[in-house]
Amino acid sequence: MLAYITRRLVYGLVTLLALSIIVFTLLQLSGGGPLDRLKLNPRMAPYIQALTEQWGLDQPLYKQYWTWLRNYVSPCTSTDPQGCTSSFGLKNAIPIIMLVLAIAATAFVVYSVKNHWRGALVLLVWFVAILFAFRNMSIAFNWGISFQGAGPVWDLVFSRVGATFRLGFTALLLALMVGIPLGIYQAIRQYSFFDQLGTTAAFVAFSTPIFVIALALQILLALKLEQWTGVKLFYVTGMNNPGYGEMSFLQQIADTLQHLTLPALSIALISLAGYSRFQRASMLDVLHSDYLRTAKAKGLPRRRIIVKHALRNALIPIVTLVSLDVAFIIGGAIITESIFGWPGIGRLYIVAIGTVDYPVVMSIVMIIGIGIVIMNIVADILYGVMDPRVRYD
Amino acid sequence: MTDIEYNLESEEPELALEAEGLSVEPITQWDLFSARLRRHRLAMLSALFLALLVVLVLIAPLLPLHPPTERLLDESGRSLVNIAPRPGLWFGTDELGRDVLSRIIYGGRASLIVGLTAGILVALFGTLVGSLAGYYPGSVDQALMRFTDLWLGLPLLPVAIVVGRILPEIAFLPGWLKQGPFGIALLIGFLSWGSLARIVRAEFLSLREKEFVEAARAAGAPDRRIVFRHILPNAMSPIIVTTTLVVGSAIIIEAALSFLGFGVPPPTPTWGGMVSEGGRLAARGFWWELVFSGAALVATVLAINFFGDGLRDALDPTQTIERK
Repeated sequence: MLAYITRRLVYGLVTLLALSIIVFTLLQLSGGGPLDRLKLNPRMAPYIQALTEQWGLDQPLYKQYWTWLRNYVSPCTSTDPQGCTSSFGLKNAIPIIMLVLAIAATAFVVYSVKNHWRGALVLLVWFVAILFAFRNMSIAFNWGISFQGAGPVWDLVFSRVGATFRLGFTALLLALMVGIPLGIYQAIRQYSFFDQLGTTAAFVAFSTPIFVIALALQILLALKLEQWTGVKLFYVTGMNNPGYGEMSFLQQIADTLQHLTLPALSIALISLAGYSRFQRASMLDVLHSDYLRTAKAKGLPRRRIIVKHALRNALIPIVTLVSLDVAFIIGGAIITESIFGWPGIGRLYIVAIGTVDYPVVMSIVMIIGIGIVIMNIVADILYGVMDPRVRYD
Repeated sequence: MTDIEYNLESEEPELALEAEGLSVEPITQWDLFSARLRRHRLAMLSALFLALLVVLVLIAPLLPLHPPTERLLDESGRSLVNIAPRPGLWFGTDELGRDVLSRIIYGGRASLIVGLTAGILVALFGTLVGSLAGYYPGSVDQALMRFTDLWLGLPLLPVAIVVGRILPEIAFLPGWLKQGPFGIALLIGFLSWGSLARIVRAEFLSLREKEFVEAARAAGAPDRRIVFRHILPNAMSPIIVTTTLVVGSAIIIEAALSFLGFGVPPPTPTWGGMVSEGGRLAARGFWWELVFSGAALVATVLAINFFGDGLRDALDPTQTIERK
């Protein structure tokens, strides 16, 4: 198991390195480069040379890459000349402590809890640990300074990761909570009217680009609904209203939901369709298996057969699907954030690409890559935890 | 049950059977396949729709349409901006006074070119990598599959956006790659062959252990003959189905890139670009460009996916001709 995880981590690192080299090289191919816009302004002419030297744009490509890579993985210290505002301190230990605690808690759960709550508990532990570590993080890495004058990249990116996480996690939760029961119900009532309807709807959702869904939801449920009924149910743009700080707790929840629902729903709908199809197939597989026939032959009540025998095994394969879906959800977030003006890394990414802001683009691509690699490994481990038939070699 | 005595000893058994009133036309795999496909009503409808779309897009210059980039004027010379659908301008005009119907038909060109080119590219490259890996286990397989895994690990949309952004600026590329839909098609194709390679490899791994392959090898058939004559035809079904789905997703990715402004550059009409523009207009009450371009996009991808579904069923030899 440990060897397996180590191997996966090494593969993950190689993938990330390749990703960084590919994107870095691609960015260099762009004709103008990051100083292109400044060159349009004649008063900037004296600074161009200085900036080129300061940012190292005149150095050979491999040197630039090496500088980027070295800085990207090095935490800020108080002596760093640029790209850092916060410095290394005692508080930086919190994420590491949380990591150790989470590993210990996972080990404890795996060895002490033997029933089907195990997977859920492990997930919960990691969720709390990551959230807590993230909230208390003061560590910063030297990710450079935005070429467009937006300050240190680490601050820029990390002030927005939370928003994207909120959006993506809500979408995932929504897709899971609707998609899985839908698929199970369809499998139990195979070939019923509801099943056929669900299948067709999933096909349509699958074939609809996310930006069409997002625009349709935005225009129908936010703009037109207000025009026609006068009720402002959802907001078109942003994450919270300006006066969020002064609102009461209930108002804050309402405000958050009014902003969050539509973008999250746009991302969730396509994933939801995928989950329901997959869950239906997986449930049908189990329903037609030999041991289920045995359970029926024993004369167990139908409810017990479905809940206790079929469901628990039919839920396992979806873990893989969800982990592979993370890339899709992030891609969806990039598009949805642009449509709904959501202040996350997706929108920042589009803006940074438009202005060829190398450090910001590289940082966000790498965050996305790291997220996908980690989720794939977590899913593989969870799969083994949930399904005792899986052996790692 | 009537018993028919087959005179199999006769010189010409077929004639003997025909004399009994029985047909001896052999039923080929193709007959079975097309019979199964024809029973799939949605797939046939989708095929019809796609065929119609292809014809429309091909003969677009011959149709009585305004050019897609022409800004229309009325009799008194005022520009026809944001005109609602009406006879003559069935889909209305956009904010620059261009005919939306004409733009949708011409926009279909970009989508179909990207979908088909990316599909062919993925089919060729994915099959090549997958079959090499599946037929030569060991170091070739290991190397190719590590490469495929790495490729599959790349986040598709973020990387596609970077390439789409810088594509028009790459100095050493020829003009038709930089500006047109072919560059986008190549980009999407090269980013999405990974899953097909995996599927083909799995097919090859299982097929190469089958008895008929062993028999061919025992008979002294060279590798080339075994692969092209015995294994590949049996692996065609997943290749065709996966490629069909890739065509659909390539069209969606192209539209997403154009929507974000990193796809085929304007003024060339694209469905993604029109949805983006139409979204802005729809917020002001001019709904038609969004509705029609969105519908064109969804209908096309839906038809491709339905057709792929029909193909999957029809290519499955275990499926009986009767469908529920």
